[in-house]
Amino acid sequence: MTQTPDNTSTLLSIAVKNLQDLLTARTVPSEPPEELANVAGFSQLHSTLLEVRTAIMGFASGNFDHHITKKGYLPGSIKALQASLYHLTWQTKMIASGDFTQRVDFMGEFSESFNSMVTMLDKSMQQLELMAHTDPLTGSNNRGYFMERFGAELDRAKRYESVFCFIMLDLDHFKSVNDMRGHAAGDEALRTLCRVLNSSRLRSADFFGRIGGEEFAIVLPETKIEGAGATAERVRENLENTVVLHEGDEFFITASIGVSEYRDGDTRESMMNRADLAMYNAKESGRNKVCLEPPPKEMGR
Amino acid sequence: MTNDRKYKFSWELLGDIKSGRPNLGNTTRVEVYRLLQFAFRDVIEQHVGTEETDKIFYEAGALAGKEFYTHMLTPTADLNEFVSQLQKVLKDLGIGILRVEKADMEKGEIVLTVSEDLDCSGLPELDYEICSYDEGFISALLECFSGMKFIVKEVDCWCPGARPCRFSAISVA
Repeated sequence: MTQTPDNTSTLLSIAVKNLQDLLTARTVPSEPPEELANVAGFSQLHSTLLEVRTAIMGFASGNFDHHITKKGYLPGSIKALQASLYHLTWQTKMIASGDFTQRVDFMGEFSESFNSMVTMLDKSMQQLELMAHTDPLTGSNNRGYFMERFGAELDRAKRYESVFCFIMLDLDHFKSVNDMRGHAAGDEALRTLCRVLNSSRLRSADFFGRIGGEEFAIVLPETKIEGAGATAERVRENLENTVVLHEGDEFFITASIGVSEYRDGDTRESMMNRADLAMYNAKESGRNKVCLEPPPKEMGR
Repeated sequence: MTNDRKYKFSWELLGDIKSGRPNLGNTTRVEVYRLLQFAFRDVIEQHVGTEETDKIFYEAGALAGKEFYTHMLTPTADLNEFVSQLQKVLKDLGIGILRVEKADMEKGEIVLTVSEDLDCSGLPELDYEICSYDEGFISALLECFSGMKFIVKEVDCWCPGARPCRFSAISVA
């Protein structure tokens, strides 16, 4: 076809209209205008813009999966955005699974907000975890968490054939403290006991928890019963010499303590039962005492 | 091939750069790395053809990836931890910015991208994917991490600008 100035002008108008439609019209034909079929490169330009348009419209409606086949700066930029959104999706899934180390660094102001949210979530989860593990009155491990750790120590001892000890501690005459001085004074007595435990030179691997009203327990990993007895005696003595202060009132408390040592085949219950028996022996023999469980050969005598 | 090869790789061959380059240090320009790689690519292709060249670069990448995992990463069974370590070391060493798009270790399918890639970011636009060394490198990293063998294919290579290369990794029995 011979192109006259008029003809060229017409083709140009059709091309401009087509390109404008690709950018602004609600719907566009999938093929370029017939009149431009023979114009070099126009079909390629049309299909590139159509693909970019389809991808952007998909993004606008939340669909990131449009497969972009065209190359070049503009399709590439959209592909980079697509990759970022895919990665963001993956990061969000990781955060949902508890990985709070994820940080976004490619989405401008959104990244800052997102990262702040993750930091807050992390803190909240840590607080929730702490609350789930802690006795609200004394701040020590609660029964559930203590028993979980006790179980883990038992498993460890079985696996490595190591030794550890369990200490049961019960405040003496605690009911009298509550009855005579009030429950707030009783609460202060329990808090004082925890302070004594914290300042009785327990090792970092040792742990204790409140397992009942006025009952506490301690686990001492890698410790034989003689060592555990010495630790228990130190706690007993510290407690005996520590004054409980409550609203101007001052009084002293004591505890009876029983100790058991891990043996083959032990369960949490069997170790607790033996420590409990030893603790009752301490009560029976006058309170404010430490009693060790008898050696295995003397059991049943 | 004999066991006493002349060029058998060992990590020690990387040398003591601190004492060897007291003035110039341990960094050089990316162009220098690319000059080496593309010169190799050209000459090897002339000797053995395109397909074999890509295979050689894939295998070299795998060897490098295995050594890199052994010497630069701390072994872990946790995917997040592995990705996190890898992201950090790749970024710190200026190799690229790694991002995960999808990861299903049970199915053995991973899609990841590397932007600002050492090998190809900023290259002129080409009609083919070029990061065969990266493919091998990633396959070895994934194998060392998971114990499963992976075939890695570069499905998008966006040479111009900072657009990412996308790699699809699929485990094979």
